[in-house]
This record gives sequence, structure tokens and C-alpha cells, in this order.
Amino acid sequence: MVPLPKKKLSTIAAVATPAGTGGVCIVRVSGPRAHGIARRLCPRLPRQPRMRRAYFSLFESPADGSMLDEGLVLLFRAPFSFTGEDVAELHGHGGVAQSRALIRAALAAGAEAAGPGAFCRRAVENGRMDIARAEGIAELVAAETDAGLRAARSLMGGSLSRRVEEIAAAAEDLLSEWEAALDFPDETAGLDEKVWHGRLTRIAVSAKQLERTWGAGNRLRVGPRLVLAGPPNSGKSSLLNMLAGRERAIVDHAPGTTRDVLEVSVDVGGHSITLVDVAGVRDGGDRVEALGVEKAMEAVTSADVVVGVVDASRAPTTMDEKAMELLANTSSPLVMVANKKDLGDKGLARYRERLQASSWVRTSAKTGQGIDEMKKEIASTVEQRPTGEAEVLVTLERHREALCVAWDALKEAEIALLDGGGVELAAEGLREARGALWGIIGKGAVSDDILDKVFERFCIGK
Amino acid sequence: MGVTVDYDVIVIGAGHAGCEAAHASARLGLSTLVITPRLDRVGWMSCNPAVGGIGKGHLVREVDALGGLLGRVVDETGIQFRTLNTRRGPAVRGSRAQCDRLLYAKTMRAHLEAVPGLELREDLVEEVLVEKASGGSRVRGVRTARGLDELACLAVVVAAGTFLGGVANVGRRKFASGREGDLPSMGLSRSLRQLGLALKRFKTSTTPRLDGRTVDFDVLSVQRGDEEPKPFSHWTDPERFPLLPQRFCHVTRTNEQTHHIVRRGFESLADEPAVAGGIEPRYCPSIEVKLRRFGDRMGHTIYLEPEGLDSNEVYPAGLSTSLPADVQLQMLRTIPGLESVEMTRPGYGIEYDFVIPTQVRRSLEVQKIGGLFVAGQVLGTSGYEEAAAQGLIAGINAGKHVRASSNRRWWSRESLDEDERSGEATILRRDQAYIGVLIDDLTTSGTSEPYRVFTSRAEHRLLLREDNADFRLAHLGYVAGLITESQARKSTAREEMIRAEVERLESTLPSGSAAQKEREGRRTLATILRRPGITYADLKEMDAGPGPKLSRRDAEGVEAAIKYAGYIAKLDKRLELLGNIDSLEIPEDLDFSGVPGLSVEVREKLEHHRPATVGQASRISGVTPAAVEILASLLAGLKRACG
Ligand SMILES: Cc1cc2nc3c(=O)[nH]c(=O)nc-3n(C[C@H](O)[C@H](O)[C@H](O)COP(=O)(O)OP(=O)(O)OC[C@H]3O[C@@H](n4cnc5c(N)ncnc54)[C@H](O)[C@@H]3O)c2cc1C
Ligand SMILES: Nc1nc2c(ncn2[C@@H]2O[C@H](COP(=O)(O)OP(=O)(O)OP(=O)(O)O)[C@@H](O)[C@H]2O)c(=O)[nH]1
Ligand SMILES: [Mg+2]
Repeated sequence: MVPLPKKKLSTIAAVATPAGTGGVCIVRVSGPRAHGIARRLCPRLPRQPRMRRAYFSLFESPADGSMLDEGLVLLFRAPFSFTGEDVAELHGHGGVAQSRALIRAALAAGAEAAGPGAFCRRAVENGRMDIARAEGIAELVAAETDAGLRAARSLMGGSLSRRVEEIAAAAEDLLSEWEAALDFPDETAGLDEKVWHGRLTRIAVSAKQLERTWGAGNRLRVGPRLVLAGPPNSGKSSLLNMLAGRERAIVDHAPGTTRDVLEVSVDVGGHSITLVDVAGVRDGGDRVEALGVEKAMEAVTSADVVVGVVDASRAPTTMDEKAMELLANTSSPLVMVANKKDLGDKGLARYRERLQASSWVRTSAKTGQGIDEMKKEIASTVEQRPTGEAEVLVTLERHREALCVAWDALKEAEIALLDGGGVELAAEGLREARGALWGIIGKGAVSDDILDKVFERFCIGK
Repeated sequence: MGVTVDYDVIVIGAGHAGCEAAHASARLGLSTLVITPRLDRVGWMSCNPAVGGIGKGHLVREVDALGGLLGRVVDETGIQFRTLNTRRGPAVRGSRAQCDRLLYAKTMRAHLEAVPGLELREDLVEEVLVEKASGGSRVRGVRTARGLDELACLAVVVAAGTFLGGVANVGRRKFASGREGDLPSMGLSRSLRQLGLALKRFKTSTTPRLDGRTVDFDVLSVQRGDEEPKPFSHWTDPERFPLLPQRFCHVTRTNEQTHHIVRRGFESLADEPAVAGGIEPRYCPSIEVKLRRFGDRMGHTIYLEPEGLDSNEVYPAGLSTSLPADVQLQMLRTIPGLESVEMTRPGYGIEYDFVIPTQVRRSLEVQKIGGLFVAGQVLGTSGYEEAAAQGLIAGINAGKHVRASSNRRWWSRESLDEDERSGEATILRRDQAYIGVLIDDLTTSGTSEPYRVFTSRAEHRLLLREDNADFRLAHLGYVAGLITESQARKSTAREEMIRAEVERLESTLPSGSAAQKEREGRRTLATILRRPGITYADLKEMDAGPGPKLSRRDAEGVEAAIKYAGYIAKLDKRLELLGNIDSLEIPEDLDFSGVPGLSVEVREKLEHHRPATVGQASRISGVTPAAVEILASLLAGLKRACG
């Protein structure tokens, strides 16, 4: 027989505030001995402390009783805490050495150092939240943009969980009907088999619709992609360098300078944005340039925002037609930039006739004129995109994968149902889809659940 | 060991579980005694005279493939054979048979008496005797009521059905009873409690019986058996089947008037706990519970089933009740065809003790008492097939237990697979048999009502079919010693033959003028068979051969293999992956409180159920997927570390 460590369930502790100098430092302790440990560190804690109440206390070293700090201590009783266990929180003064001293004291009093995500993990294991919501917390902490933050909050708040739960419940309903039809043909003779296919399709479509939000959702998380597009030589690369604050792209007076796709991360008005520079779009040019143009068109198609750049100091010519067409037909939000303002704007009126953009900004990459305005315009356009609050968006790859599995399985079920493979065959697909959906929220398969459903809806006799 | 025992194995009760247990144990070569209070009621069908159904038919086939008796006895005593769910695919069709109740009991007894080393004795066991042993206690014998006093043995199988502390009722009238016409077993119930087992109470009820001479069959529709009946047993010759003359059933329905009488009767007894209380099976509730639970419904189908070839009695399936006898009669007379019916005996309810099944291992051995096995209705199930399946497993494992505790060698080690060689119990997996699903469900999750098998309980339903039961299990039956070599050969040959036929259909184009287009599309016979509603028989016209002559069962095997081919291949792959985690063993002495990261609730659940594998742990309700991950990674890590 395999020998196993015979350890008691541990009590863990960690500094919950970021490392560095700050106003406060919070040490969080969770586990069966959390309250005892707090008592050893905080001599002023009353004998019968009330839960969820801040007590002022000295913090003492358990080793020698020396005074470490003073601050607040709060206790939470299982299961009414974040982790679902007994929890103590010590709020001391911030500071690198100071917070280290406090955590060391907690460890000396019997806690173990918590690993990454250990508190969240306990919360999930203790059923305080489902996996998707815990993932939301991880996202919240990691979020770098406002939009990412909002998306994370929505995940943490359970909006995705609820949506997935809804779809899974619809799958469960249909499955229970199928199971009943298979196991109790006598009692279920009246079931309307004709509507089964329609219901199955609706479930598949909801899963697909949710999965489709992944593109937008994921970009909320990593920040939007802005593509600088327009005819050659309009100053796209110059503007990119301007916004990036350094000479990132090669600039030259010869049209067709940029060929590859070039990405830089920039902060525009508090938004973390991926700025993409591509080849100027035109027909003709050598083979390499033509390849670059193809890439440019692709980048425009998948852009969250297109920044159209034209040289407004001159009127458009037939050479610019291909670029104009591309900009006019993009389905993404469009910010139009009339560049080379320092050389005048003789052509601007003609460009405005050709392109019905909601706003035009006039800039000079040479003098820096209008750049702030351009930033403002970009920021406001980015802010108008989906926020992650109003609608449910899939932001994590794991969730998207599960939804894809569900979709595939539902499609197989559909084929089985239509091609007469039989309900029992279709049920396999539906079971798999349900399992994939449950996987998102960490729900396990319990076959009695199905039976419960079956029997609350049908009369099952002998 | 040097202990002298009267018998190796003693089986308490000769119901459906007890008969299989005793038969299996004796066939393993162990001296076996089965004790039952009435030898004229060996294998007695307490409820309806029918065996099989959807899911239940699967169990019968599995028991048979492992070398059990049930299927053979049904084949020998069946007076109607019918396949249910023929509208659906082969995995969810179920075989069912009406049997001659008296003949069934007689035949079962004859089968048992024909096994050398198996003794039957009429008595009542009052007490199970145990002695201290390392890590708990172990069985040393039983004490009976009728002067036989103490009988020493190495293993005991408790298969006491509905008899423990049994109380029957008809309306407000209550009487101590194990079943109509039988005394209950009070001493054994007490004895099990004293051994530390937790018992709870369930309730079930049965229907009144009718005098067939007072039923107007002419106005009722007839339900016939299959035109080409299939035997249950793999070892019954389909050419010389059925053995007995066949009978019809009749179909009728309850109506508003019936419901009205039932409801009034029930309301007048609402204060009577014997009627209103008790946990009844949802799956065959009494008519009063049906109405209470499902409210108004246009009516319930009632099947009038013959009790036997020489009997006038009729069993009205679907009318279980424990209402007062006069209400029962009134209710019956509202039903078409039964307007002037007479009852030969009223229906009744029965409440009994059962052993909470989470206290036994998957081998059906009680966790803390070595050599004590429990099987059948007394372990919380309902139905003959469920009982027989457990009886068989308990019998085999009781035999193995005896073998392990005495050191006689009884099989050559080489012939056994890993499991067997280590002397471990026969345990069927969930992807292997409905028996595996049944026992795993019971022992890991317990049950809140009498447990019945369903196809929806099996997550690998397409693999667990009636047509392939022998491919799945006959080799295990052979290894265990219940299946003869020639039977095992026969099953292998059948498997080969079906595989060859599947291959032939996959590669043969149809012939004949009607199939011209199919040939042009290069559609094989297999592709055509995959289409909705096409059966193997339909291929005949376009099949130039040379195909084998298949029995109906074999043809179903071919159909299933072809229709489900894609799914089965996928399932196989998934199982391979799953199997790795699922079958990770959890050491019996593992201290769950020492596993970091498990919640208090999960730890308690694990301590309570003591799952043997990670797969089993994952099916305990309340054990989260995260906890399963933790267990799996811990155990996998240890396995690697310890080689
Ligand atoms: C009233 C009633 C209604 C039922 N309704 C249904 C139904 O609707 N659907 C369904 O599927 N099933 C029903 N059944 C259940 C079905 O009969 C059982 O599931 C099946 O018989 C169980 O088999 P078993 O071997 O576990 O127990 P049983 O068939 O009950 O056999 C138990 C055996 O143990 C013997 N015994 C008990 N105590 C002792 C002792 N101390 N010493 C020696 N021998 C002992 C008994 O005499 C008997 O021979 C019903 C049973 C009853 C009684
Ligand atoms: N006067 C003036 N010249 C500019 C301005 N912006 C860019 N230029 C010049 O225009 C030329 C082309 O600039 P780029 O930034 O390379 O233009 P581009 O759009 O990236 O061109 P391609 O990569 O060829 O498509 C260079 O010589 C720049 O110095 C501007 O605002 N004013
Ligand atoms: Mg450029």
C-alpha cells in the first residue's frame, strides 16, 4: 500500500496587499487555526470576539512577545468567509520590511505560507463560488485596462456562469425528456418528438452565440487592436512613431516603405491599445509589396478600430481608390485622420466627400499638431465599444474551448436525430454537450439529477 | 487455518439474490448452505410474474453471461416473450418475459438441487455470529431458530429481501409479515443492528390478484409476444424455443371514476402512516401515490398478465395498492373489462428494514465485518433482476473470500488477470456492465428510495447492450469458474462471427436490379443498414451473400455494431483516457484529512464512503471536480514515486 503523508488540513497565510511601500498591509490567514493564530498575534482581541468586526490591537511576535506593529484585526467564521473557512485578517502599516515581519509572525504562530491562488482555490473547493467566477477574480487582479477590468468584474459577478447555466439547463431539460422516452416508452407516448429537433437547434445556437463573443471578449481583456490604414506615403508609420513616442517604424519618402505588419503596445488616454502599422494599400507595386497589401487588408478586417490616414495636402487620385474603397467598406468603427496639416488641407474636402466618417482629425506627424486631438478621438471610439457589462462575453480561452466542444457535440446530436441514428445516439451528444457546459462552471455529473427531472414531469408507472 | 466449519458459505434467504449467490458459491466448489423458511417458495416471485424490461433485460443477460441462473430459468418457464422499445435502437431495447409463477419457483429449486455441494434447508436465521479479527471483526457462523443452533462458516450472504422487520398493511389493518403468506424476520434485523450496521425503512406495495374467470377479456385489446421470441440465455438453443405454450396479456386503462375512488379512499386514510408514510419506489408507485404525485391524468395503462399456464389468476400490473380491500374492489370494478371482477387476494403494502448500502464495498462485503455480504432488496434495491445481479456478485465474492482465508489453491495463477491474481474481489466497472453501474451507484451514493436500474443511469449506454452481454462478461464468468470452457468458446465464436459479418457488410455492395443506384453510389450494405428503420432482415433482397444464418439476437448484434460504430470508436478512445484516472486506486488506509486542499465537507464525504478509486470518489455527490483533481494528481504522483 502506498504510504501517504498524514497531515492535518493546513491553515495558510499570505500578505494580501501588493509588495512595496503602501498605506496598509493586510495579512490574510485561512484555515482551522486562523482564529487561534490571530489570538496569538493580537493580545487585545477580546475573549469572545464578534465576527466581521474590526478590533484595534497591538501585533506581537509569538516568539518573544515583542511589539511588531499596531492595527486592526477582523475575524470571519466558516463558512461565512471568502474561503469558506475560518479567516483572520490583520491590517498593519505598509512597508516592505514591516509586512515581511508580520507574515513571518503569522507563520511562526503555526500558519503555512499560501501558494498562488490558494485562497481562491479553497473558496472553490468549499463551494463558495464556481470555477468561472473564481477565474473572474484572477482576471480582475490581472486586468490592465478599464475594459478588461469591467469584463473581469462581470465574470466574477457570475454573469457568464448564469448564461452557461441557462444553456446547460435547456440541454438538461431536453435530455431528461429523451431519457424518459427511452426508459419509459409507455408513459411518454404523448411526447412531441417533432419539436425535439427545434429545441436542440436552439440550444446549439445559444452555445454558438456565446462562443462568438469570444473575439470581442478576449480583446476587452488584452485591449483593442487599432489598425492604421490608408494609401501609401500618407504618414501612417510617422503617426505610429509619434503615438509610440519612439522611432519604431521605418519612415521614408518613397511610397511602399512599410511591407510587414508591425504592432506596438501604447497607452492612449488610459486605454492599453495594440497599434498596428501596415503597408499602404494600392494596386501595382512589386511582389513583396503586393503581399504586404494583402496582409494590410486582412488586418483591417479583424481590427477593432480602423484609423484611416490620408495625405490631405493633396486631392485623392485614382491611385488612392483601392484604399478609399477599403476604408469606406470597413465594418469596424473608423477614425479618419487628415495628415500633413503643415502642408495645408487642399484635398480634405474631396476626401470627406468620398468617406462618410463621423469625425475627421487633422494632424501633422511632422510638427505634432493635432496629435492630442487624435488621441482623444481614439480614446472615445475605444470607449464606445462593448463594455463587458451590458452583455455576456466569453473572455477566457478555456471557456471558449468548452463551448466549442459543446457545439460540436450538439451538431452530432442533431445529425443523429435527423438521420435517424436514434434518440439514444443523439442523447450521447447532448450528454457530452451538457458535460462541457458544466465544465465551465465546475459542475459534476450526477445521474440522479436527470432522474429527478424526469419524475417531476412525467408519471412513471410500472 | 485448521478451523472446522460446517459450511464454507451460508446464504440467508432463497429469493432471487439468495438463489444466485448460493448457486455461484457452490459452483465455485465451496460447500454452501442456503437457509430459507419455506422450501416451496425458493425463487418466489413476490410481485408480478414477469422478468426483464428496459434495463432489467440487460441485467438478466449480464447475469446469464457471467454464469448465473436467472436467464435460464426464465427461458424454461416463460409463457410470453416480448421486446420492449422496438421503435428505438438496439442499446435501449429490453427483453421481457411473463413466467408461470409456480413453475418458476419449482424450476429454480430444481436447478439449485442439481448443484453438487449445495444444500437447502428450511429454517430461519436469527443471528449472524462474528469474532474479533484484525481491523474489525469477521463472520464465524449463524444461529437459526429451529434447533440447528449454531452453524459455523467462513462467509455469510444476507439476502433477506423484504423480510427484515416486515410489516404488511391493507388499509388500516396491519400484520407482521415478510411477504404475503410469510412470516417476517425480526431476529436477523436485530442482529445486524447489533453488529453495528445502520438500517433504514422502505415501503413497497403489490397489486390485488383477480379471478380470471370474472374478467371480460373480449372487450380488451390483446398484447401478444414477439412473433419470433428470443431466449434470454446465451446457452438456450434458439431453435428449440420457446419451450412452453405461449399466452397473451390484455390491456386496459384506469379512468376518472377509478381515480375518484382511489382518492377518496386515500383521503379517508390520510392519517394512517402505513398508507400515507414510508418511502416508496418512484418507479413503481402504488396507484394512490401515482395519483397524488402526478395529479390528473387521462388514465393509467393496466396490463392484465397471466399468472401461469394452469392458473386462473390474473395480475393487473400497474395497480399496486395498500388501500382497504373493499376500496380495492370498488376501484377495480370501474375499469373496462373488470366490471364484475372478483379478487382472489387484495393488494398490500409492506414496510421493511434495509441495510444502508454505502456500508458495503463494491464486492458487496460489509466494510467492517470480514466475510459478511449483503445482496438484493435488503440492500435497498427493488426488482428480481437487481436482486439476482447482486446475489451473483456476492456469491462469487463470498467464494473468493473463503478461498483467500483458507489457503487451498483452486486455480492456476497463470490463467488469471492482474485483479484476480492478487486475490481481489470480482468488481465490474461502470463501462463494463449495468451490474457495475448498479453496485457502484448503491455503494457510493446510497439510495433514497428502492433502487431500480435504468439505461439512463449508464454513462456508456451504447456499449452496454443486451446483444453483447456475453462479449463483455463471459470471460469473467469463465475466470470466476461459473462458465464452462465450451460456453466461453461459444461466446468467442459468436463474437468472431459477428465481427466477420460486420466486415463483410462494410465491404459488400448490394446486388439485384433494385439496388442499381446504391451500387453506383458505392454504398455498401453497411451504409444502407445505418439508415433509419432499416434492419438486418431488410438487407436480404440485395445481399447476394454468402452471409451466415443469424439468429435474431445475432442479427441485432450486427445492427448495433454497425449503427453505433462511430460512437463506439469515439467512446473507446475516451474510456482509454478516462480509465487512467478513473481506475486510480485509493489506498484503504488513506487519511483524507492529510490530503492538502480538500474541504471539510469533501473530506467527510470521502471518509464516510471510503471510495476505492478516484472514479468512484468523483461520483459521490458533493465531491467537487476540484477535489477529484487533487486526489488524482496526488495518487498519480505517488504511483509514479513508488513505481
Ligand atoms: C409487496 C411487494 C411488492 C413488490 N413490488 C415490486 C415492484 O413493484 N417492482 C419490483 O420490481 N419489485 C417488487 N417487489 C420486489 C421483488 O419482489 C423483490 O425485489 C425481489 O423479490 C427481491 O429479491 P430478494 O432476493 O432480494 O428478496 P426476496 O425475493 O424477498 O427473498 C428473500 C428471501 O429471504 C428469506 N429470508 C428472509 N429472512 C430470512 C431469515 N432470517 N432466514 C432465512 N431466510 C430468510 C425469505 O424467506 C425469502 O426467501 C415487491 C415485493 C413485495 C413483497
Ligand atoms: N510634411 C509632412 N511630411 C510628413 C508628415 N507625415 C509624414 N510625412 C512624410 O511623408 C513620407 C511618408 O511617411 P511615412 O510615415 O513613411 O508614410 P506611410 O504612410 O507609412 O507610407 P508607406 O509605408 O509607404 O505606406 C515621409 O517622408 C515622411 O517624412 C506630415 O505630417 N507632414
Ligand atoms: Mg509606412
